Formats: sequence, structure tokens, C-alpha cells
Amino acid sequence: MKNGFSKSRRGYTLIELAVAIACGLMAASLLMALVNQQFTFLRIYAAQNFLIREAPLISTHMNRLIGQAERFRLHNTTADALSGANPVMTDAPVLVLNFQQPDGTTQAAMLAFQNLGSGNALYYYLVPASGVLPAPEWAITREASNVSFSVVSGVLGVTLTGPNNEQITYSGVMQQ
Amino acid sequence: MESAKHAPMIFRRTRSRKAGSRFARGSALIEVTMALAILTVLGLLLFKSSINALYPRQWTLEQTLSDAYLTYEKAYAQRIPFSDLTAANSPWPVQPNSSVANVEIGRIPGGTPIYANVIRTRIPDTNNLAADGGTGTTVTNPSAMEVWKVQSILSYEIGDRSYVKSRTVVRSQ
Repeated sequence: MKNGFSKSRRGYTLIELAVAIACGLMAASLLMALVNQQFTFLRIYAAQNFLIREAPLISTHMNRLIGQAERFRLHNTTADALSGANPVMTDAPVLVLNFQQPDGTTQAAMLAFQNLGSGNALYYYLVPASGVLPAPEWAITREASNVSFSVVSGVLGVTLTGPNNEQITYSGVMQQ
Repeated sequence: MESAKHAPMIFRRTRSRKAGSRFARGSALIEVTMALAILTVLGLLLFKSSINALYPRQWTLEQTLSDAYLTYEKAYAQRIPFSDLTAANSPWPVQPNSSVANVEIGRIPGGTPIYANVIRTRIPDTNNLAADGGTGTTVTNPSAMEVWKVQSILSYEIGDRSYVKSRTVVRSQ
């Protein structure tokens, strides 16, 4: 009886334990690799969102705005844009658009990439006759890390830089 | 009667538990091997499905970039002064001549630039006068109207496939 008990409770050998631990580690590392693979996939998937989803939306809005404008000017600051001072041709964060109204008057609007305290965003302003800039009408995008306007060969270009250094340039001309 | 029934059941259970534990000890290696095999297959399947999901997005991404670049070609063709368009050093040479340039159409996430070839050419309208590349005469075209189809063709590659897309603008004076 004593012998039988000791036989049934004999311990594992070092090799058995080593094999069991190695197998367990292999299974665990494989599982970790699997999880890591899925996280990498999600990261790549999310990184593509700016160019695939956000940029075409921004382009649609910009095309509608710029396509209806009668003229435009580029500036480095909203203050310059309001006063009409220091217009520039490249790397401008502010674009002033002038729209002809049905009654013959002109309505000015402004697109400005700036930080109003809640992070960088591309804002759309309607400029009143008083010349005092009100709160923005709406934010076209908050996902871009940079937006710059430039004029090359008479063509207005908008370069959008995404959060992962992706870059896309849309171009357009005013109504003719 | 009841105790008589219980005794063999306990015996059977005890015996079967012993047999089970012996079986479990013996099959541990097989179980782990199976788990590893299943995990490997699962990993491969998930990897394949990830690739399947990402590949069309990569395609869409390049379409977005190439469409965006073509907005410049279209705008430039609309905007360029007519005299520059028809000059000897025009960016759009008269067909069958063409100009080819390798341009950066944008950058993908990570900042890697994507390049494509842009081929520019302009095609005269058949009613243009002979001096303007057409077969028209002063009878068919008394005002010496010049009409040109200004064409930009963008060619790029995704993987082992080549893609071509174009924009054509009609200019006249």
C-alpha cells in the first residue's frame, strides 16, 4: 500500500517540466504575436483614414467654396487677411475668398488653419462688413496636422498634411 | 440494496478517474501541439484577412492621391494663357509629340512619397486652320477659331499592375 501510494505520487522529471514550460511559452508567445498582429493591423487601418475618408471630404467642401469665389488672397495671419496687408503666394495658412452676391454686393469669407485653444483646425469664417472677425462658422477639419494654401501658375493649391505625415494637394480655379 | 448499488459505482468512478488522469498526463503534449497548430492556423487566417482588408484600401489611397494630382493638371490646363498653351515651348506639345515628367503625387502615411508619370499633349480640332494643326479652311472656319483638346495622362503602378487615368480640357480662342 505504501509502495503503491509513493508510485502514484511520484513527481515529474526535469525534462517533462522543461518540455511543458517550453510548450506553454510557445503557445503564449504565439498568442501574443497574434494579438500584436491585430493591433498592428488596426494601427495601419486607422493611419489610412485621413487620406481615404477625411481628405476627399475636405476637398469636396473646398471645391464648392473656391469654385464659387470671384477672387482670393493668401495671408499668413487672420489680422493681415482682415486688413488686406502682406499678401503671400505660398505656404499661407489663411485664404480670403470673395463671393459676388445677387444684389451686386460682395461677401468675404475666410478659411484659416489655426489653434483657437482646442487644437489646430481649419475654420471657416464669414467676414462681416464691420471687419471684426466673429467666431468661426464651422470647422472643416480637425484631423489635419497642417493646411497650407499656395498659388502656382495661377492655380490655387491646398496642401493637407495628415497626422501621420501623409500629404495630399488639391488644386482648383475660381469660377470663370 | 442501496449500499450494494453504491459500491460498484464508486469503484467504477475511482477507476475511471484514475484512467482519466493517466490519459490526461499522456496527452498533454498532444494537446499543446494541437493548440499550437490551431493558433498557427488562426494566425495565418487572420493575417490573410488583414491583408485582404488592407489591399483595397491601399488601392483607394493611391486613387485618392492620383485624383488629387489630376485636379492640378485640370486647373492648370484651364488657367494657362492661350498664348502660352500654343507657344513652341508649351507644357502641352502638339500631338504626336508629348512631354513626360515624373511627379510626386502625394505622400502616404509615414511620409513616403508616391511618384507617377504625367504625359501631356494637345490635340487640334479638325476644323482648325492648317497652321493650327487642323484641316479647316477660311470657308469652314472664317474666324480662324483655334480649338485644342488639352490632355494630361497620369500613369502609376500599384503592386504589379499599371493604371492610367486622364483629364482633358477643351480650350478655344
